[in-house]
Amino acid sequence: MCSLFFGLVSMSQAEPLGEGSERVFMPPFFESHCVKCHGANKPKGGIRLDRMDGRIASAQDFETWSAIHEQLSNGEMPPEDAESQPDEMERARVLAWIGGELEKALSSERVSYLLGESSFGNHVDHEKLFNGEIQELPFSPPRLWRMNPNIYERTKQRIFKEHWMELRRVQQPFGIERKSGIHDYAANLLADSATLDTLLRNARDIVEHQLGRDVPEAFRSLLETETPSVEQVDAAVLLQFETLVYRPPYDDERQRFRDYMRRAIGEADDVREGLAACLKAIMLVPEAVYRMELGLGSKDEHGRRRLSSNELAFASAFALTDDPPDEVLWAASRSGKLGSHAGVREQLVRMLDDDAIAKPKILRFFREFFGYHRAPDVFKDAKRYENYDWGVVPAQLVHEADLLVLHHLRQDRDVLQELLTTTHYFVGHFGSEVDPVELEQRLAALRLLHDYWKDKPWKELAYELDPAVRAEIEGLHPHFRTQPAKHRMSGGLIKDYMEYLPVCYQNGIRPMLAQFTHMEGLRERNLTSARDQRFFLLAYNLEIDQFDCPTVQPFELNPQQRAGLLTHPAWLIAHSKNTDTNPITRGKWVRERLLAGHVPDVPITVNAVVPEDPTKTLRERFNATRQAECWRCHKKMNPLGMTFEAYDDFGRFRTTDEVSGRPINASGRVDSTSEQRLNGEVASALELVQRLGHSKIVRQSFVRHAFRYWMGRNELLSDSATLIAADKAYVDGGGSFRALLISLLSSDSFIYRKEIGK
Amino acid sequence: MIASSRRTFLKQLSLGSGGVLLSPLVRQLAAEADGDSRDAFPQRFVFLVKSSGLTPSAITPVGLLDQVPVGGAPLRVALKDHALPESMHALEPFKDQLGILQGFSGKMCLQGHTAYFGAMGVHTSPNENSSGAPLRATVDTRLSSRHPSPFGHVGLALRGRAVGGSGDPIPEGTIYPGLSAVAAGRELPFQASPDQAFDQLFGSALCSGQGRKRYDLESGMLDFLSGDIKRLRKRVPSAEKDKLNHYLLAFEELQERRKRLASMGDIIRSGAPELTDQFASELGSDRLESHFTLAASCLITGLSHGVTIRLDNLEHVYSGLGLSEQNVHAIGHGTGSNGKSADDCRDVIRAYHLQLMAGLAAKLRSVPEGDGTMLDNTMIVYLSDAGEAHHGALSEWPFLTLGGCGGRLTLPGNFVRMPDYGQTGHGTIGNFYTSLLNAYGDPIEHFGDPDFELDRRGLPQRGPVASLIA
Repeated sequence: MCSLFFGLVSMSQAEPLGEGSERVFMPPFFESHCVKCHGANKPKGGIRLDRMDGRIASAQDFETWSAIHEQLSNGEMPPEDAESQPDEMERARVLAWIGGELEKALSSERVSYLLGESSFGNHVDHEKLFNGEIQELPFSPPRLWRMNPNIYERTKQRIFKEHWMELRRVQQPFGIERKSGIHDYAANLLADSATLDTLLRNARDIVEHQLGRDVPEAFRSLLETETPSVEQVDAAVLLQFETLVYRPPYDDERQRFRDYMRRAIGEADDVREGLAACLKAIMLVPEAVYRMELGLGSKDEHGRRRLSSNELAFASAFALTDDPPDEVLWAASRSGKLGSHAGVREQLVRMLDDDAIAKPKILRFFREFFGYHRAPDVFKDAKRYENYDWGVVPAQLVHEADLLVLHHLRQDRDVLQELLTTTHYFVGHFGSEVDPVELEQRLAALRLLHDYWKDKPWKELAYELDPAVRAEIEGLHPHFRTQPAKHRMSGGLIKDYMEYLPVCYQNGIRPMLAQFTHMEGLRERNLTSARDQRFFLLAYNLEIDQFDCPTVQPFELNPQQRAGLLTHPAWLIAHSKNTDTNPITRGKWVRERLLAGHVPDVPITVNAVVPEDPTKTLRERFNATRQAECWRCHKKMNPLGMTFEAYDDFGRFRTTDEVSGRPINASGRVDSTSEQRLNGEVASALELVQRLGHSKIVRQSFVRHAFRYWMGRNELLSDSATLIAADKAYVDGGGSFRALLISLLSSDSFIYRKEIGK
Repeated sequence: MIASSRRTFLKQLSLGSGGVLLSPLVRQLAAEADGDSRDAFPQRFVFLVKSSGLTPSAITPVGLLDQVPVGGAPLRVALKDHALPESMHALEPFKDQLGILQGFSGKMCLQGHTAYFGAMGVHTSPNENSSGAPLRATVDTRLSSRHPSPFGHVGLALRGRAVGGSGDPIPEGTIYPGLSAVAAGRELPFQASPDQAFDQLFGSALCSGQGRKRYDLESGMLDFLSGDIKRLRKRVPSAEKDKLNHYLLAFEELQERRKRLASMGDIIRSGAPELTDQFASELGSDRLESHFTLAASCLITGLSHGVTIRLDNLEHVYSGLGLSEQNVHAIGHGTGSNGKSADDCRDVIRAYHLQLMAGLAAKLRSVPEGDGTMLDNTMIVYLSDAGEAHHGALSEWPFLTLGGCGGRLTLPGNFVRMPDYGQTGHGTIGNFYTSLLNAYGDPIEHFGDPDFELDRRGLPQRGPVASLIA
């Protein structure tokens, strides 16, 4: 690369250059083709190439150079109307130079920070990642990965069990901002003074609980003595380590904490106070705050260190669950089985196959990738939605999108394609795990309930049922006796049903069973009454008195209106504005998540406001972005995002624009991708998602995002082999997400550690 | 002048002048040199949040009940010519620094028994059972964050969430009432037990016995852990050292705070309230009074420049005020208690709150600061988390403000009424809070979520209300 660089420079600059030189001159290419517009005189887009330094590797102007590389390589620059165009050879040479220098810049601190921003992930060359030319073996940098909120929540629950009043007092120290995209990245999450403040406050409350209620034997025995023995102290330290650090203390730690506790007991002249101080201290050790993935295992001939068995046990457990390694995983770790890739794979397969092990991390990936779970965060004007309490509607829609994801994960065939293109959805259902026969029985029970109450004064029922009345209801059908407590019949539930059921029976349709929607993870909100259900049905363009709720789901909703998650109301709402749709964000989403592309942020000099005009559709008002300096970026988003204009900002399908009364034009186009059959006009989002669903780039882009989520970082070129293998595993498995996941989690990128640039 | 009054006061302090309160000693001396005398002293902010609404007519001088704003401008009347309503009697001596503010709406927030974080953060919450997460730092903590202090913003609470379980006892320890936030997603913890609050705030300087022991043990523990982190740091590759350094820095900052508190020992000891049995009392009135005592001492010693007090919630029974038969919720729904009508009960409760507020103001006024007193550089805000009524419709959201507000606002001494909801010139609590923030030097363009209905009516609400800023 260096010789090419010198070759380029030597044509214009006589000054000697070398490793230590202060300034690196730019190749003449820029003088010939760029500086006329990007020079001192009114530089276009505020970019001045005449003053830029060629020291790309210093990472000073990394983003700008990345943008230059991108625009040169996809032919956006020089613009079509430029006086002269470089020939292909010239372009290729300068691209190779910039690319090489950018690659060097990757090892700088600044870039490693940027690599911690998922929005920056797509700067790594997609083509190179997948064409097999990269020979470097994959690894991850050794790192500390801050604990995530979900792991801490589980720990809290393990400690406080049913004492939820006390549990509520313990606050989350590891909050992650709920921003768009994959964001639990090792590089950028730090434990700072706010984390410590919360941890310390929590530690006081937790110890208060541990020594006050349900006191474990290891602590009790200490509290009951005035002169604790070494064994008693060690047992308490062990228990607290296992509870909060999720492993036994190492020998030196045991020694240190033993000494510390005894010292504290001595200083306080009080066993309880000394014990409490030591228990609190264990809650604050770095490993209770950071997961250590340093690579403490053996070094291979390429300078990469394996994660030790201990490290791998944690890494595998936390990759799938929110809990520390289970007994089997620890046993595999102790017996050295995790020392081989096959051994790691074996444990992954075991955990994936065991339905008793909750694996919430997988669904969370799909939520973060698609972003539909953010629907409740978009502040909406409830008045425009029939004045209904809006909060519960998006929560229910997110739940139904989750059901769809879980269904396809269970099928595990063409998962991504199905999620992008399926015409089948869940509405008012409990997911494909539920036996349709059981649902039929529950419907039969409802009919009995209706017949029992229809001539009785059900409107006068109190919320809490009289025991005699409850007994009578439970006698109607075995179903009423077997329901979990929270779903049992109450006066309120009966009243809700008695308003809704007659509507169904009169219209000859099957009713929906009560939905219990989680609001903010705190309490469930009952969505039973006809009134309530009408509102989330509305988002699917369904009517309460016409929707015949299928017991077997997913069912075909309306193939002329919807296909896949991108036309699911939850996704559409999550990617909408307060009062409008959001073609920009939607287009950017498709460009970045599915087409592995990149759209720069709005330049700070631009005050991007869509002009108000009630006589025009949003698309027409967006014509402002057609100005050349806007269109350069907007052409990457608008033609993709406009295809979703067939849905309003509540996710409802529409053919006319409510404000202007004008017909909706939902056409668009795909361009600037290297996959020819992907490019071209599309009539609507339905056609767009079909094309995306069958695309190789889209599949690979999805693999890249899965990589980011599970590795907690952006991909490097050296991860090429991991990505190719994961993609292949997915394809060979018939679109199996499970295969993709196993491939990623048993890859060199997951298992080996090496510092970047060393 | 400034220096001399402080010297005088320090002298009094060193003479150990019994009941007299102390000068605020942790001052931003550097600011004094800047020229703008308004920056010479830290600004203090106290937010007092009651439940069950604050009835506008009950805080309106009789002579002003019928007056309405005209021409799209706020109605502004000097209070000096008007007698305050009976329940505000305690504030008569402070009329020159009292502001009565009416007519701002808050319909972007959750309506009903409480707006949760919305009351000071201007956004909605999922429903009455769930505050949801705070979307931004609330105005109380945002205001005080510009004036750093050892403890930052302090939360004290008699009760927790507005809607508790029926007959819940008064809570103890750290609680989260869903009112204040220091950042998006980060709720401000409130201390419900005055004795624990005393311990946390003043304990370092004062505590003895068990408390001292625990405090010293914790300091030792922090040192022990710092050592542990340093040991680990040696094994971590350079690129990752930063993460441990951050964590280590957090320990050092905490120790630093402890040292700073130790160096303030004399000030804290002289300014700390006397720890009496009242602090550990289970009586609501004792506790609330203790919270106010703590707040005053906190501000005067400079341990904090911002305090929010949660005055009650719907479950609370004001037995100490002779209202032992009904809780705030029942009274809010029109049920009388102990022979009094519901309205009379509300008057009694309000009068009590305002007495406490006046007591706090009196303490601050007794502390000289520059040419005036500490109250001149303080803003005490009294509001309800449910706006104008027990079930707030939030078409208006009344406030009382007390204090000189550092000369930054035109509120002291005035009654201000904004044009009604839907009329030209109307504003939301978002506009009000933006005015406060701007007045205190925070350049935010607009604080909070918009009210779409007002947008629809062609009455967009963005930015401050210029006439409120001095």
